[in-house]
Amino acid sequence: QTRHNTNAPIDFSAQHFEIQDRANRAILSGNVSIQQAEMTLDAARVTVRYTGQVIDGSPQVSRLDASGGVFIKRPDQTARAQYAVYDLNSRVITMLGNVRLTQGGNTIGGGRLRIDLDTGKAVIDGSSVGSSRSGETTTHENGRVTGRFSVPDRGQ
Amino acid sequence: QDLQDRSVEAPPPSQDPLPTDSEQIQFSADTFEYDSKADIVTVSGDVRLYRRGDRLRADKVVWNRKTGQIVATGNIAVTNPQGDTAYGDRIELTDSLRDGMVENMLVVLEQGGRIAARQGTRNEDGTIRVEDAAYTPCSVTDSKGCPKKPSWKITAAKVVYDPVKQRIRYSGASLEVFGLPIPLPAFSHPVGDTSDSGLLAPDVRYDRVNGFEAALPYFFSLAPNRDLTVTPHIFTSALPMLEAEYRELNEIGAFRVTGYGTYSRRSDDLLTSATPANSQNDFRGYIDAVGRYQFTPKWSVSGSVRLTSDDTFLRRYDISRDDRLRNNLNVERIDRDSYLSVQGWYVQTLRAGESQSMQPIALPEIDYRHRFANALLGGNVLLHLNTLGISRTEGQDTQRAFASARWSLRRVTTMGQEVTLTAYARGDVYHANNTLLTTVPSYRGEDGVHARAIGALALDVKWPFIGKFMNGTQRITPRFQIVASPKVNNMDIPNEDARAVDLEDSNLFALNRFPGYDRFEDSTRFTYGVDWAVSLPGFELNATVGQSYRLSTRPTIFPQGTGLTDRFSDIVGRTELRYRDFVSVIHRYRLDKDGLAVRRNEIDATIGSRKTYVMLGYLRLNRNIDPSLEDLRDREEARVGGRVQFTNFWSVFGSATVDLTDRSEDVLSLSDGFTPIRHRLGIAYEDDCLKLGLTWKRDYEDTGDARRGNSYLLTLAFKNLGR
Amino acid sequence: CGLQPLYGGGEGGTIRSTLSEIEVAPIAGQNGWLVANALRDRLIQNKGTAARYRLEVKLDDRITGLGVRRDDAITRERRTLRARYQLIDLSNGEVLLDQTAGSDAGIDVVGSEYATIAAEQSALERLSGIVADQIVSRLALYARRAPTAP
Repeated sequence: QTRHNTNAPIDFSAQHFEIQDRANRAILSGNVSIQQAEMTLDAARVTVRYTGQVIDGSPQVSRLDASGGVFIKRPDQTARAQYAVYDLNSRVITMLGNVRLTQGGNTIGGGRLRIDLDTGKAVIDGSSVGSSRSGETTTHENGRVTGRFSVPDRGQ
Repeated sequence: QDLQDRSVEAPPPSQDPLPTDSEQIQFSADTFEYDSKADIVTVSGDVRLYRRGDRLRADKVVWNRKTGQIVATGNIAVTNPQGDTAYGDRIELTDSLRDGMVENMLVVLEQGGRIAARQGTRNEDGTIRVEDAAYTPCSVTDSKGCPKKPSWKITAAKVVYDPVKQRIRYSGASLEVFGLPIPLPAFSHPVGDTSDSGLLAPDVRYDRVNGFEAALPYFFSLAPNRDLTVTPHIFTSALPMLEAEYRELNEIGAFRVTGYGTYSRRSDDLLTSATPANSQNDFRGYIDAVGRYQFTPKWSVSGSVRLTSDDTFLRRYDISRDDRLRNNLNVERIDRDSYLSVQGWYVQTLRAGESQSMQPIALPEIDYRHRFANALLGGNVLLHLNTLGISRTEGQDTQRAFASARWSLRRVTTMGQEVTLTAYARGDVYHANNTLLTTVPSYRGEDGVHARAIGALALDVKWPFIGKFMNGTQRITPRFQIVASPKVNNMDIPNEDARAVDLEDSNLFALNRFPGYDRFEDSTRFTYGVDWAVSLPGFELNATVGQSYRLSTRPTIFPQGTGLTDRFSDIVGRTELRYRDFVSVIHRYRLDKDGLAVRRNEIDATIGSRKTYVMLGYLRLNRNIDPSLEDLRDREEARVGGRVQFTNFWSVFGSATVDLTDRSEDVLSLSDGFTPIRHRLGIAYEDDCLKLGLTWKRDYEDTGDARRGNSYLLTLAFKNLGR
Repeated sequence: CGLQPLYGGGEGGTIRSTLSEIEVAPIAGQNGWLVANALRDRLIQNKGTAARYRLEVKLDDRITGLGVRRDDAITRERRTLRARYQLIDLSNGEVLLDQTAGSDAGIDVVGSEYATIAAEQSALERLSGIVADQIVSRLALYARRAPTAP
């Protein structure tokens, strides 16, 4: 699990773009797909906020707010939730609502996920904010985190 | 180390479906942290881990996936598939959740019993090693749930549980009963219900003749279906005695053989109290074997052997109080309509004044019965064939064979009368020799061969009426019977099996009121009686009374005093009264027809609940039967027994037998009308894991070297020790 | 006081027919054989009737010693035969009746051991008849009260 470079360029693709220059903001919708270095983020709607500066022709992004079936994929780790906030300044991704994190063969479900891209630490707890539809998720209404971990085979 | 329950709950089974793949750990917690760089998972907040049936609950669990080490801390509870739960403050495990080290551990076994320890380690193959441990199978909370000290516990410096051998081994151990420590040698005991070789609970006793006795049984489990228990009995004032019991079971049957052996001075003369000086030490023993094999659904063989070296051995060592030891071998074939038995009897008598050589040996006795339903004119026919060979080493020998047929027709009239018509025919042939050796003339019969033909016709009418009675029902059943039977030459036939003659309610309406077959009542008579049954809620009364009147004036062969000699018989009856299951009284009686003097009176009463009750028994035989008959003597006896449970663990119990016979009943009797025979008094403590009892027994009579006097029996039994 | 014959009149007929539809299951041992056949005699079953009930009986047969003399010799015995019986409806396996019955008989212990054993055997044969009587009369009371057979 290598350290993620949050300064890498970000490519966007979506069906609709709506740029609100005065608010330094753009709203993308319709199977939005965002790519940065080896991390991709797919969602139904993403709101992109700019810092206002422009470096070598491309505006600097300060924060991404995604909602609607957010799916983040990183090398050997994927996360799924209803909402996600990618704060590039603090280099932290926070996901909310029926979070499911899969790591190798292991899956963990919970209410809220916070991934620190510097230390590589992921913290899940049960305080779900968004409504939790039953669906396939394993989160429980009582705010518990559950999951399954496979035991690395030590071949004792 | 504290054996009390811990406040934490055992981890419940997980609500989510458990991973089928046994390599996965299912978990749930409040928060989950995963440091992918260090590959460390930290889970906290009421953490539950499930793996392969093992369940762990803790406040916080740190799992280093590189090294595979799991450290759980705070209110830990681990449950294994068998349901045993281990509690602890800090547990280090490997991620197989099987082995590791626990601090301040408490293991509660699912089958009962618990182990607490300062530290416990369990390694991969499942052996648990525990330091400063305590084990008890007793409950640690009283009925109201408040904590209490267990009745007994074993404390040990080191305890090792070996799952392969299913044994727990203790070293540096001591046993604490009610807080009283008793040091113990290093020992081990089986776990679970597999029976394994080892010591059983000892038996301690004191009596005047043998002094202190300690019996230490050692149990050899030879195979799941075969075991041997060897018990040395050590006495302070007698040579030790060895007891061995072998038991074997297989799919068609089982048998058990028990043997006792010792050397000591004995006296065969039962009436003198002192052991004669000249009797020297020689071998004394007793063998007791019983077995039964069912070869096919019809054929079975059962047998019992009971032989002892001398008359007083069993009483001297308090093995048994029986005064006759029956040896029997019986081959039976039983199916729906027929019964066949080929058997032999030999009885060793230990009774004072009875010589063994006069005792009959019945070999063989063949008894065959066949029932033909609706065979003749709508009635049932019972065919009965029997042969018997009686021999005595120094007495009369008798052989007998008879064949009989009994036809019976039962109908119910429209008026509700149950009518039974019976016809009975029998032919028998006897052979006897040296009859003069039999002391009682009426039992002798005559030497040589004698035949006899017997016939009887009987009509029996019962007319049951029922009706209301207060808030229950009552049933009145008058009964009338007429029996006609021609004269039979009874007296030149030997009487081997018709000696215990006594008229009572159970044989009043029998076709032949003699027991056995050698005597047949050849009289024509009316017999009449009435049953009255009342059943109210919680109350039951059954009373029956009856009498018979002989038409023929011929003198009968019933002994004088059995209530059947005159034309009117004595009045016999029985009353049974039951109130819920709190009071039960049964009274059986025979009243003399002239003047209603009580000839036989038997009362048995039980009052009280299962835990606290009193039992009273009274028997009075006042028949004045001619002493030349040597049998059917008169007696009077009172028996009392009782138990009082005064707390839910402590109880007191006692019983006594008093012989009230005096000269008026039995001219031979030496007693003055109040001779206690024996009594027993005891106090017992019993809870779910310990039985402690002290019993004081007193015998008032000597028989040979089994002298009278007190004996004290201490019983100490650990229940579910080797659970 | 309203007494009427148990087996009297038409109603008695239905009781008898119900009783004749009871099949007595075999009972173990010699005492079982005696009690089972005593029951079959009293239930008066003619060949044709099909069984609609089954009667299962378990016996407890015990001899106790009484009248103990000074030298510990027993002079009197009592044989107690108790039966626990269940009436089972063959159509649905339901237990309709679960009761106990029993009685006892006295036996004098005489000098000849075989004579005592023979007297114990005679006591058993008489007790099996008495216990069978008790069971059948209780079954008749039940058949009288139970709803008439469909």
